[in-house]
Amino acid sequence: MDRRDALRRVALLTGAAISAPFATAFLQSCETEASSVSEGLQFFTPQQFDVFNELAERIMPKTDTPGAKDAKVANLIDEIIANYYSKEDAKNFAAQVDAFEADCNTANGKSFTKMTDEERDNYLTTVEEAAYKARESGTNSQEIFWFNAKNSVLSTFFMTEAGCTQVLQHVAVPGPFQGCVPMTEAGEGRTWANEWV
Amino acid sequence: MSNINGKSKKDRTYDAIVVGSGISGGWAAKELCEKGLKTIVLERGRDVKHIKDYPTANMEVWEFKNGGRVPQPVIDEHYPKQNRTGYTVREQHKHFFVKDSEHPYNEINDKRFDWIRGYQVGGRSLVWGRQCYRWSDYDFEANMKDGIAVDWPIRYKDIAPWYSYVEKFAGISGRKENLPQLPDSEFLPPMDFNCIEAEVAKRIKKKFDDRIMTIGRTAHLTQAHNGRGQCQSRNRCMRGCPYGAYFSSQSATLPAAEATGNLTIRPFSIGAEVLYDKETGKATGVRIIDKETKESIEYYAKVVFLCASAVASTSILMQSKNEAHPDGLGNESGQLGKNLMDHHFKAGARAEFDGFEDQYFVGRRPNGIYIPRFRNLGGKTNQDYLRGFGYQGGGSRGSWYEAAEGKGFGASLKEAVQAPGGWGMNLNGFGEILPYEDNFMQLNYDKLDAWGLPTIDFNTEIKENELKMREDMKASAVEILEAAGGKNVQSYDYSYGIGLGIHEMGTARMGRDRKTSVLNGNNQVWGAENVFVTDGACLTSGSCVNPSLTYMALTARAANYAVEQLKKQNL
Repeated sequence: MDRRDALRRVALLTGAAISAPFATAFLQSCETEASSVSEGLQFFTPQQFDVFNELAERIMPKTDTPGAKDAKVANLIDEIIANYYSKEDAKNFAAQVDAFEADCNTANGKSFTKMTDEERDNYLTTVEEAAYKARESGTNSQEIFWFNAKNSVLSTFFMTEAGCTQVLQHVAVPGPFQGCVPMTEAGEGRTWANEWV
Repeated sequence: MSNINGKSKKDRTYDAIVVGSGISGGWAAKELCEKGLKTIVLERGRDVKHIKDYPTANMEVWEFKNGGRVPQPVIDEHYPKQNRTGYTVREQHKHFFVKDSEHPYNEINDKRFDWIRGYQVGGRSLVWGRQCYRWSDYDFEANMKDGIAVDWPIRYKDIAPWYSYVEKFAGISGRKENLPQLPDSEFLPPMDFNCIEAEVAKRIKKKFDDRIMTIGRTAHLTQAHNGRGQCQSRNRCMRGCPYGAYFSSQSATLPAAEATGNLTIRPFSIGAEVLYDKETGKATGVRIIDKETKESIEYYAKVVFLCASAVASTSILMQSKNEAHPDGLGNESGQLGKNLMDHHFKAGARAEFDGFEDQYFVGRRPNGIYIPRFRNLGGKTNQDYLRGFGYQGGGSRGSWYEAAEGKGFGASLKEAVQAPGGWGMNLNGFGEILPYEDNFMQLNYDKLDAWGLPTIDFNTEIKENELKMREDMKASAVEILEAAGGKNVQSYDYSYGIGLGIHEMGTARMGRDRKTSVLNGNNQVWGAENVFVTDGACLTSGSCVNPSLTYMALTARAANYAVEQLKKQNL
């Protein structure tokens, strides 16, 4: 694994500076109730958490293997932002979540948390499209919420037990190294989890 | 002071003192103890017991907060320089590295120096990269042939039997390649190439007549050896290995020293100076400062081995000022502190490869490939710069990062990340740095550390020879990967500062003449022949291959010589 690439891809989690020209005002009209999984929040407001939790689940959903909610990814990210981000980066991340929710309300007439999974996926497809266009026309990735969200969800998911052992695969003690074997003999034939975040 | 800390002078007198317990110090302890000398090892850091003191050895990534990443404010305050490697400051193993906040140093004249240290019993033998390569006469004759610095006082034939000796004990895995510029070791079976490495190695052999790719030669056991266990491919080495499968002072040399009954280890003992008797012209012992109490305590012995790591051993010599040696012990030549070297790296290339979709590997191999030096070996290999470089690196399959690069989320993304990605190869050049007098360290008495000792100023930079070499490191990596069928070949040259290779070498060089060197051909300090320096400080040139195996061999050789001389009553 190339350490430099790894570091570049998870730059977000080192607290790399994000300059976000988003409004920081929280949307008052949002009526989402705080859900029980949002207990013990250290950074997100209950409403921000609910939005991000649903978003995380759409990025990495429960299928026949665990998804982001099963692995409590949003809770972990909440803890990470509270304890590992600089104040400025944390503020910017929250602002991006708020802006995402505000845009969603504008585009769909309702909160992201009130949409069905199908509605969310359709909406996110447009969000993703816009994100790639913005990046192509020169906007810095770190200012584009879609990339921040996807990177943080994936890197966090793949440091959980569920992500590493049930979606990817992991063996604690592999034994003497076997350099070249058929995929059918490489454990369960899935990508090996990394030990580095 | 006859009674310090309740200990009489007699209780503080040994046959031998070893300062430092890392790669070199552990070997000095083993050899001296096994030859019957009551030996005290003075280690500046805390004790770390094999296995018992490896708190993170069996932890999974999800058992660490944030996967082991450390909050940025903590890094900024305590580890700003240790963090320059990009991997040092992790909960997995940061407890085996120093805090810059406790152990500051000075980078002078706007020049960068990366000083990555581990202050504990075992030193950096707990966290080293474990790559082991013999040096050759291309290295030992280099200064003489190039007219640079001074000639080594030894040649390969002097050290070859000692390489064999230490390899047989330590256990080095690798493949015989019969190359004059990279002599073979006494090998345990080599680790496997993975699929793409094996294929690329074949293609390189076909396309080039002057270079090969081999598997890394590494201090990992590929079979049980001397009571230590076989490597289990966990790649958690820097945490300490519960199997003892890689060489460290903990897993190998200190237990052997302990078994003799002749070993005493005193942790928290910071070497302050070598004590010298100008009547006899010999050292009488070492004065330490206790890390915790800050007391000054003297230990006495017939022979002293400075194995504190290059910069530290030289600092101790520099601090050993007296009438006979106003500029420090062994500094008649004025060379002490000069010719600081490292290996420069992070210039190379990577590429993608088609094929082998249905093949994978099992295990997290703690080793890579190696392409031995093929430049400046004479004839048409000669370049417009001196010395050479090798490549470390390896092949891999794309992990979830690559799968997540493109568009897609949800179930389709999950499927995509579950399928191992395409193969790639990385070649990262490791090059030799010439000995330059003006790459030096010096003591700064205006900025003392917490123990009243001077902190260290560093003035180092890579120069024209190295920069020219880096161009070749990049270009040749591209050439190799393209010839091997790589696609999307991208070269790179990332920011490097001397010290980042964590191979500090030089500052107390061996030589033939006391007027131009600090040590003779037996690692004895000129003017204090019962003081030996066998760690990185002693090296007269830097080679392009990792130095630790050479430290082991030089230490075993010097210890053997020291004991022989003691028996003949010459020391």
